[in-house]
Amino acid sequence: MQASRQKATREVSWRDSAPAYLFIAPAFILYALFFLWPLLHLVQLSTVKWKGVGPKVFVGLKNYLHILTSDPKFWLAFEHNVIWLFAAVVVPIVIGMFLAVLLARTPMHGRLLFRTIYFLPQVLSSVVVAVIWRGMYNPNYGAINSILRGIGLDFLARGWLGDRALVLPALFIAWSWIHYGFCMVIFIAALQSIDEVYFDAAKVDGANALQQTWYVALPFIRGPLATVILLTAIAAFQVFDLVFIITKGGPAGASLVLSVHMYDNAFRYDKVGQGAALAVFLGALISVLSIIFLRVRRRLEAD
Amino acid sequence: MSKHLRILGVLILLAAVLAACVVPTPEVVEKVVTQEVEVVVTATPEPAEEATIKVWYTSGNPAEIQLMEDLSAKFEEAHPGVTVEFSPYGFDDLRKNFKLALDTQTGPDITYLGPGSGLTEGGDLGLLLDLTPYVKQRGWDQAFDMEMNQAYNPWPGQIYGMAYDIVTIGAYYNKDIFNELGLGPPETWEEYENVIVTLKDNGVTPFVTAGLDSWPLDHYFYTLAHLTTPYEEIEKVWRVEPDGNYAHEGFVEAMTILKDWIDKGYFNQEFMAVGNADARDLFINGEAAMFIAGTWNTSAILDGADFETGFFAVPSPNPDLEWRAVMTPNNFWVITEWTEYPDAALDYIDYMLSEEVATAKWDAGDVPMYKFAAVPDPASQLQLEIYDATQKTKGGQYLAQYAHDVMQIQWDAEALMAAGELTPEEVQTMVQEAYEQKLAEE
Amino acid sequence: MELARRGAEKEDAGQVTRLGLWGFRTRRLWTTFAAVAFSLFVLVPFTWVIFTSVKSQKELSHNPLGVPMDWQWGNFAEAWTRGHFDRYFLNSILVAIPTVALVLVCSTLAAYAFSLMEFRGKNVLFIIFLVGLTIPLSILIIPLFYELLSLGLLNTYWALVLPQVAKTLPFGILLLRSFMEDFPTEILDAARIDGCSTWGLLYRVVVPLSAPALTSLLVFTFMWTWNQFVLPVVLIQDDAMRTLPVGLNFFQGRFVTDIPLMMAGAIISFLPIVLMYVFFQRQFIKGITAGAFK
Repeated sequence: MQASRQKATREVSWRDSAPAYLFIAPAFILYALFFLWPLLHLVQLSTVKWKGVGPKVFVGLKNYLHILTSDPKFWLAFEHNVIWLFAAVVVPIVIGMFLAVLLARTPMHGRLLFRTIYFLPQVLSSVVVAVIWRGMYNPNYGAINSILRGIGLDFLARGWLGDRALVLPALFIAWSWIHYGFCMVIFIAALQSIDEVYFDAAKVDGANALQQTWYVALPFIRGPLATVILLTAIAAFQVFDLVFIITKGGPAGASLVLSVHMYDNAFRYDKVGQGAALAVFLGALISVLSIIFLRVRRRLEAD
Repeated sequence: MSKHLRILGVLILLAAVLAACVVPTPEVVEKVVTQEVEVVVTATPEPAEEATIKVWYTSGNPAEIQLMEDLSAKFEEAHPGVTVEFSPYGFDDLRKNFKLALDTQTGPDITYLGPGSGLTEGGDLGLLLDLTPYVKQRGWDQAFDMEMNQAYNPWPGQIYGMAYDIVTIGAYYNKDIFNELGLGPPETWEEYENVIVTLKDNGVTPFVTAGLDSWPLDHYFYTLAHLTTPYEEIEKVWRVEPDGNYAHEGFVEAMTILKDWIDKGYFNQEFMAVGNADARDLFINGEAAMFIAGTWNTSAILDGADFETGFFAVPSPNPDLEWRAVMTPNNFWVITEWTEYPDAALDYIDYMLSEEVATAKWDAGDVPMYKFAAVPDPASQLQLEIYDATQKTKGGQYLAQYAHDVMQIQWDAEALMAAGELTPEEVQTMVQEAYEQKLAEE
Repeated sequence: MELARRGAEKEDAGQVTRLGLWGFRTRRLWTTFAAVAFSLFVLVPFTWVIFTSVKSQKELSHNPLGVPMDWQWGNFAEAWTRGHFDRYFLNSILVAIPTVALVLVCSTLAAYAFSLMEFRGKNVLFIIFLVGLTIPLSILIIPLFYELLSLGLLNTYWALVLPQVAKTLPFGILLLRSFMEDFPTEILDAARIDGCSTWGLLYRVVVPLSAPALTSLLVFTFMWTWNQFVLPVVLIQDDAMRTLPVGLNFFQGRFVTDIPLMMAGAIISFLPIVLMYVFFQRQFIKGITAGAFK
């Protein structure tokens, strides 16, 4: 079936393609008008110097040059996004996998209830999540410090969001709180799709749930795993709401991420051209990452 | 084949028809008037005209928004035929959206915003209605301190904006704590230092601030800067002039005092991790004696505190300088140049600048800029003390108000100083470098 | 359901019955315990939201974490009326419905073509759509403002619907295409042999078979549109046209914050989504997983 599908689409004539085009037309028209067109406009904006009101001055690629050479905050933000990326590929994914194994492969009560609860953070508005976590990290009466003090770990209680070394991890934890649920449900379905037969052999050898997962399941769920990694990576680069509402990138840029830096340039510093250039850069980066990743995944699946 | 093409065509047509129907503007909203505001019906000189004016207002205080909506409803009653569409905005959102409005000449007829939000450029480009002829005509110069209004104006010679209330930064203080320790509001700097040390010696945290939001800590710096720096220097950096100097010794002295206070533990613990509302809560809960902050905090403090709160202007260490505090009109009322209903807009602003509204705001705990013939009874002692403070000091500015990129650098440098990584001189030098870079890029 | 059924199957099959610490029942208790422990991590913030929404600001200052002593149900009423949440709620619904409708219709048509038809430039077109997955909407805000302005659609519901649709279409097409590609060819061939036209095939066979995916797409699109924040903040100028997330953000002001009122507003905002999730859980989950398998 696959082979016949992949029959040379190049050989299809324009005339025979017409009906397909008609079916795609509504989607494509809307997409082109309200996504692609603004995207092009954005690229155009990235070539001017503009305060948001008043005249636009064409400066070519100078905005990009400025970002790469004379904007230390850009590199700072970029570094933070990369750190976020590496942590994102591990933490929420591992948690998601652990919970998936817990829910799908171990004996327990109330699976459905727990799955519902675990997914809940995904449905909240990011504004609400930001306010919640800002409150949780409050050094005086936030939940985190209160719990630490309550169990006798007073020395661990501190001003999380004010500490330049801790603020990024703290925000990352809040983000993971939202994101792990997404990973978890994908892994659950992936685990469920594996035929029990394969697990039986391992069980006979006495393997427990975790061991079964590692040796038996993992090879089967490479595809979904790869997808989760990609989507998580994209999300890691797009982080905005949490950082913007909780710390705005502070203190002293310790939690600055690219999207916030872009916002600052466009809307606070009156440097719309720079903001647009940063936006184009961010978009291009993510697109390139995605394409590379999709290629790698296709090669992996072909094995 | 042609059959499903036809059907598909119908579908696309349907989608197109849907797209063509623009949803009309929503129904008139019922405004629930929950406050009793005394209405003094002023006879309007013009006959009723059909007009719809859009007002974009900013305030973070839901109570103030409610008051404004009620007042707008009163205005509508007094001006049959005029509809007011009132939209409240958060401050940052209004800045963002008004700039877009200016650039495209769409949007509001009236907005209430501060300079440095695209407003300045808007005025320069002639996108705001020139109010100069109306100031005399409507008697606004009698009712307001036009000098203060103009000092806040970034357009020398033009009057595009009329302010109607004042905010100032000063010291809220917990009277119970002060009385317990036999302290009173200080009148000199030496007295003030004595107060702080006494508090600290008795185990009371002298100040609260919020480093997480950055600007509350910065406001401590602003307050001190106005006491240590000649006003011309402040004006220069505020107006982003080429010879402005953030590294002036006055600014360094102010930053040094701030660092001294931080190092001596005069602030709440972990203040860098605390936001403004939380810092204010600490004060409200009696966990610190003073809160040097802007008067927009008044209603929250009045609502929440179990103790009596007072207010004083921070005294000056430098007798050679005029006694100044950050004290400015809060925002401006401006009318956009493209408004279709300039008369209705002027009437609305006239109403907002009236004694009736000034009294309503006074009753709500604000400090109106209106020159009352006789100051009405304040809603609280705190309000009276705030008013007194505004009468004692001369005005001042939010230093980096027109240069948010420089402001961010100032905030970053302060955070680094609080972490012990920069000296006060280094902080101001860093800010000055950013300032010079900004001037070079203009 | 699937999850519970599988679990029950395993139990019926008579698992290893070693006694002691790793006996079946004990193991089940341990895992349940672990599950409960982790759910605290999720539920504690939620409980905080609920508690905070019924406190007064004054109480919040004095009692930020504890159980409310004076339950102010009035916060909800106040958010609804003075906070304009009644209007915002209506607007959110009036934006969500057309968005979902357009996404479903356009995605189905396009996915049908991508999965079951051959045509020139198929791969190129598909990649063009994929680009939409990688670029966040927030960076297109300024160009969108000017475009919608010139189309005369600024400050209308269409300003919120059309960009949202454009942004969601790539996901919808991806999702539906994966489902459709999985259809057993026998059914499709049988229908074709019976003389079914392209359009008939779509209407009578493909759409019914895609029902689970369509439901998932519906739920996701609704959720994303409901929670969309950056579009209305810039593209809607009048308060009367705002949606819930903008209203919510307003209570989170720069100088003054009214957290209890905001939490009441938050609950008003997420209740529809949570209810929708609870009732459509299976579709939700299926939707994500289907995308993952392709």
